[in-house]
Amino acid sequence: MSVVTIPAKSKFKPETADIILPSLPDAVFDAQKNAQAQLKAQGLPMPKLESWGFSNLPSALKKIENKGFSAPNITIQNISFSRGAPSWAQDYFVSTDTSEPTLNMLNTAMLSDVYTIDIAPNLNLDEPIQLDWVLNQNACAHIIIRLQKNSSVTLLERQVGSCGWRLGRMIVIVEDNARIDHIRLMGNDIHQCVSTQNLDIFAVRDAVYNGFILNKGGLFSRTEIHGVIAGANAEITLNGVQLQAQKQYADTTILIEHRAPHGRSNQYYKTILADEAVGTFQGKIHVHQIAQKTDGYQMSNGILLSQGAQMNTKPQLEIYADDVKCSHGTTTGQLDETPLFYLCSRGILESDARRLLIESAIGDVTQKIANEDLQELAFHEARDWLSDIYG
Amino acid sequence: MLEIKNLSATIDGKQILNELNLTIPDGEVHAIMGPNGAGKSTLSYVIAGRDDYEVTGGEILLNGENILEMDVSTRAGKGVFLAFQYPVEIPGVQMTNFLKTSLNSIRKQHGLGDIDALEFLKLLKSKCKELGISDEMIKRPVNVGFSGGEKKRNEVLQMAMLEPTLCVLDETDSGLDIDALKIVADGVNKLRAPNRSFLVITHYQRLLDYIVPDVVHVLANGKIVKSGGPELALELEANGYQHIIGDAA
Repeated sequence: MSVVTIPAKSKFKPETADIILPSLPDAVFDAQKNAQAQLKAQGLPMPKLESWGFSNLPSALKKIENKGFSAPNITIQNISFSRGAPSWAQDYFVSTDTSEPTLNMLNTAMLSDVYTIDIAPNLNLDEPIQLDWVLNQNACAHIIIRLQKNSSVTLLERQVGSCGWRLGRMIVIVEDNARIDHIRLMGNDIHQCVSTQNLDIFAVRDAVYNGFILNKGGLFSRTEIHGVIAGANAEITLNGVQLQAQKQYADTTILIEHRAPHGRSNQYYKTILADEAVGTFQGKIHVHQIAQKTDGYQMSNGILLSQGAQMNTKPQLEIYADDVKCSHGTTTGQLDETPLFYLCSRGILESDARRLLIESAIGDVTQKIANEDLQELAFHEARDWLSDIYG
Repeated sequence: MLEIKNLSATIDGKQILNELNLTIPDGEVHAIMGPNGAGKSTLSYVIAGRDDYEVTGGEILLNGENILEMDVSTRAGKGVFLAFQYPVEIPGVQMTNFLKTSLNSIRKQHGLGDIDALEFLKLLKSKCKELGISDEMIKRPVNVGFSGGEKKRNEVLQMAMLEPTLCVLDETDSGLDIDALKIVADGVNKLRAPNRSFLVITHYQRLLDYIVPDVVHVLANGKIVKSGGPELALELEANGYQHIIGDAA
């Protein structure tokens, strides 16, 4: 069977994703072959699937220029890394047969390079690790980071691009008592880039993953985050700001699984939409029966700056343990009129007042970034976006 | 200074102000008292320009100029200042940044450049000292985590920084204990000047012991029903509104 649901005019075929490393381990190779077979049989994820109801990937791919696939242009600084998947990492490439196409399947099928960063036990890095991925044509990469016991690092990830489809999967394994602060800044071209990425997090006993994603780029972007509280007293925090304008579409879809007791998870997202941009936030907290004393929190705020903007929100809680604390909330609306009036009554022009309030909404999330320099960097990146909107 | 002529206003189709007339000459302090629902807060919002209210008739002249067609920030530039009954919390906007932005916006409307950073800090420090506002407070986001008294002092601080010509105080005394009330009243009294007028809206006569008005007005059913000297406030305190509203009706 051919890949019928991939847009007719596009050349996105799994075969075009050559494996760049000549000797990927068998496990990875098998997983890819399996995913490719599934992709051929099932095609791209379509809006008719429940979790893709708001996201039309095939339509977005038709709109961007297709320059074909290349090796991902990735640079990693301040840490040593390897290409390919060492034996411990191969466990994360498992062949699963799903009844419908998934993003993971797609990103595994198109895989062309694997980067691995392994942080030794007790290593505490002061300098952030920097990972830059520049996109000029289609590329797919998998990045695996393992933090061994008691280690701690900050990872600054920057994604910029002028053209192409970015497929990626990042796997973060945080072992006992380790901590990672992960900041991802996404600034792809808003007309010519598509991004589909998985972020898989496994937090073991007493581990902390503290993440922040700023997404202001892409004609279409979908980030699927799967966080697993896999050991007692682990914590996963997913904060994010989606800034979208014109005809952009941004989707953040989160599944947090509490599979161990005393775990904590936080999701705090703000989506700010101008022009005819569309934003989606789908967040699910799944508390397994074993995960007593779980503390889960989820908040999504959508701010619509124009009549044409649209926000889709789907919060979900699925709880099988009886002694847990879980809360979620969601709001969508225009900027609050009362603070706006307050600021204007002090002489501040309405456009400046709006800008100040949006900045404050963004600052509310960026201030949760632990590293102050990176907090400032993220805030300034967001401010640049505002300058484009308000001049 | 301020002349309000036959002002009528509605919210959601409901008549709140009903051909209200009020004149405040330069340098005077006028108090407005009245029962709940009389239209006191509406009057303050309509002067400041909040667009939830629809002005259905009349005019508001500030130094001879009708301000009703102006937007909120332009009115502020012309010298209108509203001290809010419930000052608004704005997480993420630092006090200092807020005050500076406000001051510079108003200076810009007067054709002036931005205030020198050092000069601004000096000014802010001296005003804060007068009002007992700590350095720590002005480092916080606007009104976030402020006590009731701190919020009201913050309103007076903004008034002192922006130097308006017409100050409208909407129940600035409500919820304040006597010490906080004295600080706020002292702050207001320091700002009294020949070219600055005050409209003090209050529910309680007590405030007027500390901010002594030139004229007291009674507002009921959307219009001024009685005006008099400070003794009118005492009379209201003793006898309530009913007999005055009754007299007028």
